[in-house]
Amino acid sequence: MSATDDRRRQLQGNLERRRQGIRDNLESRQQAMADRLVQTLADNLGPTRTPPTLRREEPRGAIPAGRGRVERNYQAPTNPSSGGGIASPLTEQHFSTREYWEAGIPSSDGLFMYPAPKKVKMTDATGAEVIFDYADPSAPVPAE
Amino acid sequence: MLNAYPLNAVPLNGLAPSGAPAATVIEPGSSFAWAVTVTLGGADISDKLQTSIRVACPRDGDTVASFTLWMDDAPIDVGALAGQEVTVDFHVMGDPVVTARLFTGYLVQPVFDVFTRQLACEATTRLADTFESMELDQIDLQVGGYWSPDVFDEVAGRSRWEYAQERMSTRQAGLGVDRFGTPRITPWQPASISYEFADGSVIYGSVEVSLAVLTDTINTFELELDYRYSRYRQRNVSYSWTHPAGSFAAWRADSTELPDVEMIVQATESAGWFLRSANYTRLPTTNIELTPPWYNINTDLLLAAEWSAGIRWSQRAVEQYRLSFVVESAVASVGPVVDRDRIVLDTDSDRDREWDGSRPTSPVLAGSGDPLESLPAREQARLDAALNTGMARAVATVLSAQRGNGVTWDVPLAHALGLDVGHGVRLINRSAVVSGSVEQLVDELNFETGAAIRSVEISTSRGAVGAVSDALAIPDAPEFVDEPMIPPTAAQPTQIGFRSTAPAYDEELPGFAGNYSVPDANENTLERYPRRFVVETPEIPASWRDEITAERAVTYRIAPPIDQLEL
Repeated sequence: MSATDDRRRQLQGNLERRRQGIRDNLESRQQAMADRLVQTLADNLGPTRTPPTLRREEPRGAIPAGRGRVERNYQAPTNPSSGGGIASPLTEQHFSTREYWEAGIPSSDGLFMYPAPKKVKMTDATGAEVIFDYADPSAPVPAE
Repeated sequence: MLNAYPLNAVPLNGLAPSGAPAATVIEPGSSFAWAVTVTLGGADISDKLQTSIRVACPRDGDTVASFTLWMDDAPIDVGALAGQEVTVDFHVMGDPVVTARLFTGYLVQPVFDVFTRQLACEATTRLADTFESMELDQIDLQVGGYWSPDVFDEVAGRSRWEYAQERMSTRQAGLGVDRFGTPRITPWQPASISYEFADGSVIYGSVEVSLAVLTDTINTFELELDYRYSRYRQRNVSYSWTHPAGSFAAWRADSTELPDVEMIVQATESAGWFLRSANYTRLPTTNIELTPPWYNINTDLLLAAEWSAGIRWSQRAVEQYRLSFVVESAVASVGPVVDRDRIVLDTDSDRDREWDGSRPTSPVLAGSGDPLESLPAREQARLDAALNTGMARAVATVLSAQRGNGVTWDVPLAHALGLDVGHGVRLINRSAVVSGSVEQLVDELNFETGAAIRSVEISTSRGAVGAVSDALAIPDAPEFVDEPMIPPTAAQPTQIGFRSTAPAYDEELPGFAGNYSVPDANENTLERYPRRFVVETPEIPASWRDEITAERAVTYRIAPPIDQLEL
C-alpha cells in the first residue's frame, strides 16, 4: 500500500517537475515560433470568402405578336406556253354558232344593212374554246 | 451513416457492436525500464540527446518530433542538417526487448546555439510536401471523397496539398501520417473499441475534459446551390387554309385567284417564324382527260394548305436547391446553431443566339448540324458532382462539430504502446465513463525524470439514441412552371373581291385575299382586292423569355454516432 502510494507520489513529483521543466524551457526560440504561428493563423483567417452569387441577367422581354404579309398582285398564268391561253391557229368549228347584232351596219347610201357579227366561237390549236365578242354597231359614228 | 454507425462499419442485420473483436483491456501496470534510439541521417545520435524528446501524432496533419542534441566539439556542417531523415524508436527493456517505432520523418528546422553547442531539432513528416509532389489521380486514389471545380477552384496551377485537403473536407476522416512516415486516412468513427482503460490504469489526476463551445457545435447546415443554364425552347403553331369553294371542280366553275406556296412561306417567315412542315393541296396539273380539258403548269397555286410554324428562343433558367442538414436531437436541446454554404453553377449564355436564329434541320438526325447537338445543355453529371461535394461537406461539417467534446489523459507509454490514432477507446474510471476515437497521441520521454508518458486525446461524438439518418440522395430537379399559352385559331379566313356581292376589303383580316377571275358587273364599278396572304403569329410572353427559377427544398436528418461521456 505504502509502496503504491510512494510510487504514485514519486510519479506525481516527476510529473510536476516535468511540467515545471516545460514551462522553464519555453525559451525565446519557442516564443518566436509561437509568434510565427500566430502570424500564420492571422494570415490564414483573413477576410472570409464572400458567398458566390449568380451575376444578374438582364430581362429579355417578350417577343411581340407578328404579322407576316405577302402581296403578289400578279398571278402567273396557269398555261403560259399557249400565249395567254390561246394557241394559234384558231378554227371556227360551225358557222351556225355565230351570233349577229340585230341592227347590222348600214351601207353608205343607207339602202341596206350589212350583218354585224356579235359573237364568234373559235377553237384554238390546243382545243380550248376562244370567244370573240364584237361591239354593238347600232350607234355608229357616221363616216365623213 | 446507417443508424448510429458509419456505412460499412457494421454488418447489416448483424449483432452490431457485440460482433466486433473484443477490446484489449489496459490494466494498471508495473514500472518498466526504457530506452530510446534516435537516428539522424542514418547515424545513431541517441547519446547526444538532451533533457527530453517529444513526439506528437495528430489525426490531421504532420507528426512532429522535437528534441535537443548536444553536439560535441567536432566540427559539424549545420547547413546540411535540414532534410536529413530522423527516426525515433522506443524500447521497453525486458526479455524480450519490445521496440516500437514512434517517428519517421525529416529534420526541417534545426536551430544551432553556437555558445552551448546545442542543436534544437524539429522533425516533421512533411505531409504537404509529399502531396505537393503527387499526381492528381494519385491523390484522388489516396484521399477519395468528392470534388467539383464548381465548389472549389479549377485545379490547374493550384497547390496539390490544398486539393487534397479540399477532398478531405468531404470525408468523415482525417489525413495524417503513421509512425513510419506513410500518409494515412483514419475515419472519425472507429469500427469498434480497440482499447479499454481500466480503473487505475491512467496517471492519477491526468483526466481532463474540454467541452466544445456551444457556438461551434453546428447542428444545422444550410446548403444553397444555384444551377443556371439556358433552356432552348421552341414553340410550334398549326395553321390551315382552304379555298371556300372546297374542291377543284367547284373552284373551276367560278374560278378565283389563288395563293401559292411562296406566299405562305414568305408570310410565315416575315412574321419572324419559320415553316416546320407543310401539306399543300395544289391546283392540279394539265389533264386533257377532263371535260373540258384542263391546262395548268403552275402547280404552286394552292387550293388548300396545312402548315406548322415554329419559333426558337432561349431562356435562362435557375434550379435552386435549398438543402438543410439537421441533427434533430441537438436542435431540440440547444436550439439551431447554423452554418451556411453556397455553391453556384453557371453556364455561358454567349451561344444562346445560335439557337435563337436557328432552323431545325429536316429530318433531325444525329450529325445533321442542328445546334442542339453542340450547344451547352444541362449537365446532370456536373450538377451531381457539385451536389455530392457540397452535401458531403455539409454532413462532415455537422458531424465534426458534433464531436467537439474532448477528453485527455496520460498513461505510461509502455502500457499503451499499441494504441494508435483513430482507435476506438473507452476509459472507465471512478469519476468517468468515456468512449471515443483517439485524436492525438503525444509521447513525452524525459531523460532527467525517467518518465515516458503518452497523452491520449480523444473526441466523443454526441448522438441521440434512436435518431434517424436520411440517405444522402441527390435531390430531384425542380420543375419549371411555365405560363400556359392558348393556341391561336388554326383556320385562316378568305376574302374574295371583284364581285358586286363582295364586302369591302378588310386589311385586318388575316389569311388570303384575292379576286374572282370574271366580274359579275362592269369592272370599273367593282373593288379589286390585293392578292395577298397574311399570317399572324402569337406573342411569346416575357415570362417565357426572362430568367425563370424553380426551387427544390430538402431536409436531411443526420444522426451522429453515439459515444459515452459520463463524468
